[in-house]
Amino acid sequence: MKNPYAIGKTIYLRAPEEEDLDSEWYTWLSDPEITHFLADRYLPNSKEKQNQFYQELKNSNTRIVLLIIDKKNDNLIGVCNLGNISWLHRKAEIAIIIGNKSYKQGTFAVETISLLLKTGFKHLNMKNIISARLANNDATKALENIFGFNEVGKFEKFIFNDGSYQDLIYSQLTKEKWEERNSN
Amino acid sequence: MKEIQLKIKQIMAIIFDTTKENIPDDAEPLKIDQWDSLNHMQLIVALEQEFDIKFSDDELTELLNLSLITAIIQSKFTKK
Repeated sequence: MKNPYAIGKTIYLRAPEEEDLDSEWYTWLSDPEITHFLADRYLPNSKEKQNQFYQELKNSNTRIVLLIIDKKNDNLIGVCNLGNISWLHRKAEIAIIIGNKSYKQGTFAVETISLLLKTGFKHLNMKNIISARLANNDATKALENIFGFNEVGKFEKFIFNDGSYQDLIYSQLTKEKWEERNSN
Repeated sequence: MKEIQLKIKQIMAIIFDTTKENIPDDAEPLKIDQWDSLNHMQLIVALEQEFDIKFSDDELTELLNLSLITAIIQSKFTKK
């Protein structure tokens, strides 16, 4: 493992480094199959744009982006983040992309969210973690369900996606609920 | 243990759109094409509903194959 920040059973999370700009990371954010449910990823990405994003990220104290890495071979699986962090209100917004299509089988998304929630609540002392998803995003809906997020509201017909306007749905997981789920 | 595994296989067969005979005892995501990320999540939701249990985050990360899923569900009933 190289510079791990959070370690799971089959994966670990680490900060991106300059050399990752040469990996397939930047191509994921142009791939329509991968960006289909991402509200803000409708323009093509490039290595230059990724570098710009990376430079901004290095100085950000409101966004923590982590690469998802296979423990067995250090392969890049995807990327996740805690964004829109408020250190005053102790809240963050969670997001995940499994970009490497050879990892579409199985358990990696679930393990990533588990690690990210533990990082947010236990390591960074967040009080609330928020998830935002399009109404037609069944995978994120299932993840929210599994990890005990409560749906709290929506913007109706808010995001243009694949030819129509979709509701943007917000869900919340409090630290108390997360601790209760994991107390036994 | 066998009863629990059989019930899990029945649930898997529905989620993976196959028959329980097509779910081997050593089933894992790499051996079943339909066991992708989304179906894995739907499987977890279905298992929680059918067995009336909740997995902790640590348990969720252990649900890597049929035999581990069976063992974890079995252990939850043993604790009850």
